Amino acid sequence: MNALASATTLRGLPEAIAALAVGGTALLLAFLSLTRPAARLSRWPLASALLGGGWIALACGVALGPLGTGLLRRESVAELEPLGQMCLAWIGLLVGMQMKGTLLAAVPAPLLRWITMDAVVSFVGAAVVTWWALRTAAPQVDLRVMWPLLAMIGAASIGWSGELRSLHGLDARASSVAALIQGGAGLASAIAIVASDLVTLKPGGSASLITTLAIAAAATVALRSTLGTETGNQGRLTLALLGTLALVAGAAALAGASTLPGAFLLGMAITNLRGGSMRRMERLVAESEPAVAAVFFLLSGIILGRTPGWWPWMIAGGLLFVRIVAKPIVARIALGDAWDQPGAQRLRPAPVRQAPIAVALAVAALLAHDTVAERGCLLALVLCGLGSGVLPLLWRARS
Amino acid sequence: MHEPGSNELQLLVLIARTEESFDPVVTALLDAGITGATVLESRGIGAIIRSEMPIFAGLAALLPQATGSRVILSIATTERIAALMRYLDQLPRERRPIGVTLPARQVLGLEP
Repeated sequence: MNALASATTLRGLPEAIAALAVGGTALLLAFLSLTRPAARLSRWPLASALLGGGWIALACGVALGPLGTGLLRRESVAELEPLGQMCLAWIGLLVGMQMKGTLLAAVPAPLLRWITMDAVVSFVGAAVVTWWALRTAAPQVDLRVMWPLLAMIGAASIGWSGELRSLHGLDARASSVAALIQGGAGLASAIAIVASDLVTLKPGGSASLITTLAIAAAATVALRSTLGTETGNQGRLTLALLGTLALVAGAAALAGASTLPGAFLLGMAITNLRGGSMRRMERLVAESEPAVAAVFFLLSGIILGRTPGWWPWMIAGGLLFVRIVAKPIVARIALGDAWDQPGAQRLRPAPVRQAPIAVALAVAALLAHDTVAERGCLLALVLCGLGSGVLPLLWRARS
Repeated sequence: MHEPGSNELQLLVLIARTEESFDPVVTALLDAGITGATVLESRGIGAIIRSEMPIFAGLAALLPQATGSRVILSIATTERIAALMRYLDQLPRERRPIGVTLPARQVLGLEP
């Protein structure tokens, strides 16, 4: 039974009504995230942190799901899984669309150094603390069995959140550091997706991944040749993009692979192809980010469940420890004097905050294999994200 | 409402929100006989809000924040601006710029 399918059914009501309730909430949150009041709310630093981290939508999901009011229970609502896969695909598309040649060429050497160091330190550190927690909780489990989870959590720990308003970090004096943090957050999301899918490959899994990537490549060629240089019809573009994405996500789900890499490849191809239709798609996808994030985090909150034992809390504590101790040191070493420039003090807690892509990686793993281990890892990453988001705010309040 | 005379000068402000909508604006300016204009790269408030709160994507922060949006400023006669506006009004909605004109009471440094 998959995670979303097992997560939700309204007590005493037909499954279709339960799915409708979740779908209605998702649509409402998506709509609200694109409205003027939401934009106005994001000017308030705390609200910016809550919206940027997806915490409001996640809290709504938790409230609806088994961890909250219990209104939604762990029973079958298979209708929701495609929505979860589409959200993941859209997130992969968003991250892939950053991989434009001109953007990658603009990545400065200090940022490359920072990202490389961060990726290695975070991956190893997170994998070690997760291994320690799992060994403590279940000493009999073989490391080979644990490896995909260790690798997923290691990849999820790469990078940081790019939201800086809550830190009052959009200071013109430190604009170069702010750009490095935001640019690094985007680049790290891409590295996390690639790392997660390559390192967690199981024997025989490469065929699924290659099949998914091949379908994504073929879909891109078809999309480009169908639309040509059309620029005028927004509805047609939206429909074509949704159809292509559904094809890529569906192929990945059938092949037993993650939805993220295929969609990532599709996004990368669209952003590097010429044509007015491609640019309009880029804008459409970029503008949809808050809405997709709202739906995705709502679903993440719904599938979040209780896990026997304290090991997810131990993993979360360990991950938080790695972030608090290692991330600032890595940033200081990689950026050197830039880290000390006037106005950059407020930005120092930024690398500590977990990137939202971490939850996406955990949900992708959960949709592929719904076991207690995957649920526990999702809970651990949500707890770590929450802790790493709150601590900088407390630090700023005290200072 | 007071209609200015055809030879009175007006300040023309056009906002082309995308690359695709900028091209017909330039063509229309030339067709209307307005050969002098200043073009400024600009950003909409939506782009600013998105760049301040990236969720999954933030790499674009490394580049100068060009979104394809441009502001076109020009001073021209009412007659030419009217011809321009008639043409722009016929463009498809997606390619039509936002435009406004203001009476130019005093003008300095403009060649006759």
